[in-house]
Amino acid sequence: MNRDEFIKAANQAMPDLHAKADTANPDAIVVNSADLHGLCLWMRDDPAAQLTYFEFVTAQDWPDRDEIVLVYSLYSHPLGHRLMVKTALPRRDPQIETVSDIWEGANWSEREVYDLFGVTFSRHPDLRRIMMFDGWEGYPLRKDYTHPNLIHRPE
Amino acid sequence: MGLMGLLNKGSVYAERLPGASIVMAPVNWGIDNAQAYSMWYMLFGLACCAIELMATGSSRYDFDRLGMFYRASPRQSDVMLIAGTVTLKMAPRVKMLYEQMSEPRFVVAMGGCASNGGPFYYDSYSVLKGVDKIIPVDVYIAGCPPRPEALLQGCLAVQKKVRTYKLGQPRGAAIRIGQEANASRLALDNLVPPRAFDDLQILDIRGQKHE
Ligand code: SF4
Repeated sequence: MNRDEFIKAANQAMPDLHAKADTANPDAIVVNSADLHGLCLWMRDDPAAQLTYFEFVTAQDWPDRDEIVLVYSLYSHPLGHRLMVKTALPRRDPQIETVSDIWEGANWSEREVYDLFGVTFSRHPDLRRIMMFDGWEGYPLRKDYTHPNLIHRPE
Repeated sequence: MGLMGLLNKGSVYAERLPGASIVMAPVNWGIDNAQAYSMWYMLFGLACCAIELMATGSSRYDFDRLGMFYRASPRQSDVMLIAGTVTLKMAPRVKMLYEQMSEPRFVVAMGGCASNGGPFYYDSYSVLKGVDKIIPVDVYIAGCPPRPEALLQGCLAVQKKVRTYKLGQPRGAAIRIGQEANASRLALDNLVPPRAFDDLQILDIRGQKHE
């Protein structure tokens, strides 16, 4: 399945999903954050999709749009196709449902996004920092992050 | 190592007896050399510099000929080679390991990262800007990573310090192994016999001269 077939199949299976094609990435689709968990469940179990392998989740910080965009990368070993799913969250208190109950492998990836971007994954079994140590303040990969240890390279 | 500490301390006490210096001079010479040729280092790799450390330990460059071989425990080690990037998360562990080593103990900061943060000096929130912020460093080696020759030269510099160090005395200034040593095979020529290190070109990691 390519991306457009995906969008069609998903929108057919879930009428109020309104998945859209992403303008930047030819492999990516965009959905609302509230629909993500249901979509993921469908994508794993649908016989034509079979996205059984969770590659990673990462995030982008867009201070000017006041958004944090999560990017999920999924792969199907049986069918050999790939899909990326993007979903935008508000920058202030970003929250989304975990997909670690769908793919076990999402557990640490989500912890990483939580650690570095401050996205809270609800229902996550073990949401702790993973790179930085406990007690670290702030989310280092946000664009407006500062730290006393951070010295900017002089121009 | 505990034994080294005992030897060191014993000679300090014995020297206070009348006429002892005549006896102790050759004994001290023996002790100093024994110590200098039995520097056991702690196996401790933090990043890419550790690869070069392993290369130096392997048969081509061979730490063994300096009597150096690795111990897995800080309690048995004399030298701590900080080979790699010390992150803020790692820093308390490094410090704890250092504190577990018994005197006399020596620290080599290998590479730019351990010396001053190296490539991560700018624009990094998580890297300690030099291991000397948490523990005293005896030898700095420039390079990213330093060549095995430079590391060997650094170890020879530690040997020199071991020979002159007396327990309870202030330790000498840190020795810096410059980028010169990286570029040449000079260090290998220096291996046997140990020569004076005073003519070493002293450069910091950005190639600037230190006083
Ligand atoms: S100095 Fe260079 S080679 Fe050594 S740990 Fe740092 S980045 Fe790696």
